[in-house]
Amino acid sequence: MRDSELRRAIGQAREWLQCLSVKHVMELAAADAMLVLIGLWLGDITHVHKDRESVGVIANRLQQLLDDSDQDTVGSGHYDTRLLLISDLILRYCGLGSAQIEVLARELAADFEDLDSTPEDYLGESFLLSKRGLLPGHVTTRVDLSLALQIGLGGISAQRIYVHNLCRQIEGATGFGTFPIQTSRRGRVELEYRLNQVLIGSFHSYDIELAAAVLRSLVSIQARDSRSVREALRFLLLQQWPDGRFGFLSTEVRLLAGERSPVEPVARRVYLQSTVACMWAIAMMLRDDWIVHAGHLFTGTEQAA
Amino acid sequence: MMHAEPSADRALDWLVGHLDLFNPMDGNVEIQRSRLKPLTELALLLTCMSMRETWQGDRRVSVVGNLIARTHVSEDMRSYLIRHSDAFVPHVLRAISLKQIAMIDWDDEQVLLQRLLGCSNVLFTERLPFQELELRYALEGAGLVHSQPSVATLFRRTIASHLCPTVYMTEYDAYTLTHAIFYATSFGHEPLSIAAIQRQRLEVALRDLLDIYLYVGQWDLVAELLFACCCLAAKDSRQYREALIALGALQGADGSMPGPATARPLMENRGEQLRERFFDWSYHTTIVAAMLALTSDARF
Repeated sequence: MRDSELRRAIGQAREWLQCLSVKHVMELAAADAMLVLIGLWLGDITHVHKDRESVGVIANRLQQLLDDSDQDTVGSGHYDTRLLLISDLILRYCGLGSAQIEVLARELAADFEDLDSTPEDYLGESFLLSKRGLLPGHVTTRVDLSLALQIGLGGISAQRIYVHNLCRQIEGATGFGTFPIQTSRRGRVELEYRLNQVLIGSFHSYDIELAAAVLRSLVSIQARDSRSVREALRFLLLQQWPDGRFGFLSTEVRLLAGERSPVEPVARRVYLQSTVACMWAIAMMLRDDWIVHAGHLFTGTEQAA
Repeated sequence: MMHAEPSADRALDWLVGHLDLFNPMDGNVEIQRSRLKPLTELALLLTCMSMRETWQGDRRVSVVGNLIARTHVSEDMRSYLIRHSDAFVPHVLRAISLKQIAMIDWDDEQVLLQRLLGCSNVLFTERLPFQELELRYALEGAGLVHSQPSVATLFRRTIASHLCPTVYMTEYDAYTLTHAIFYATSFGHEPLSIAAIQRQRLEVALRDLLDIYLYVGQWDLVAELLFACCCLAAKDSRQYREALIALGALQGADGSMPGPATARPLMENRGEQLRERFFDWSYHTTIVAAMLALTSDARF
């Protein structure tokens, strides 16, 4: 798979996000705005021609939405904490910031400091907080291999939870793929085997978001050069509409929307999630770009033009 | 006493306990067509068992053989054979199982089948490639004179010789792939002559499909894929070993195996209705798992 193909796919997805943000910026909920912001940033880091303006528009909107939220909403698990912390990094990169996230980050950091070690499921949050200087360092990078060992034996509903948690742990333990995983050679081989095992299975079940997460994990443990990854990536690129969004999800939209009308906000949320998940996986396949730009974002050295 | 092949032993117990549901003429005036497929699959298991010394003289082999023999020679079944052209291949497969355990007058049967082959549309009707292999397997097994292409030629027409990335393969593709392998290898009794590179591709596809159907809990296909691996003597993989353990852990104390997870019958049905639904759901996986246990010497 040529890099140019991957860049083109991300570019198209970025255009879809940009259209969305232009047309619907005032209708976006904070969770949607976070996804758009992250997606636009992913689009920017993989393209030579950056479009700071649209990132700025959505960043301003997100900041406004967060400022308008009460602290309880932001801190109550209403939003995915990782997405909040990453969004905050991008806001900072745009010269903005959210007081609500700042409070949440400090509270979380204080909670983690009281623990002997960070729970595996929160390695990503711990990493992001350490990069913001709120925690002394990214001390623990363990991954719970027992999760990996349970994959392949449980039937689909159980599998999805194991795989999802394992991917989150790997994401945290590798600083979102910016440094190698700390595990034994046997442990790495085991992870690679299990992740490859579920990669095609999750695509086959049309669980695109999970499959994209598995792809990201495989890249993060430096196991992207396998036949199943190549096949999965080809399949992933086939899931893109001409307008740039990813996923053929009309059934899911209909099911989620139910009797609700209009369906459009539901469709927007569904396609936002799948599109950003796919963009993220593809961006990580462009390994060098990812390490440089994600590294800069996390360390706060990425500068607005 | 514990049988040398305990998993197959338990499966056979369950199958024998449900023989009434295999019987296409049980209490009915007309043949129940829906029961012919299970009966034919039971006959295939019987054929596999007849080739294993350990099962010769087993009372349950005779019990199953009796049911197949009784239905086979009935007037209704003969009429069905003559009047329905699609009845020929399943009929021959059942006849072969009876021949193997010497429960049929083979000379008469062979004459009848050869005559039917010569004057009916059996050789001319359109079939899918794996069904062409099935036909050839049946004709060869019955020792009938025919001019069908070789196994190698027919196998080249099947999906097994035109593999696409497994992520695009449907359940139907996976089933046709396993059936092509079953018939091309005579259920593991004949080696398959294909190029090393093709064999390698086939083994990779089987391993990928095992991953996929383990993931979704489609145990019927898991059993078929494991059996296909056995037929190709491709058992030396981690996927094979782990899938075998996972499948074995699912065998019920009564010997039954679960069918696809998504098709599990609702337990709100009661009595005979539940028994029938459970049978429909699990009989095929139980038969395939028993064949797997026989062929692979696997102990679940």
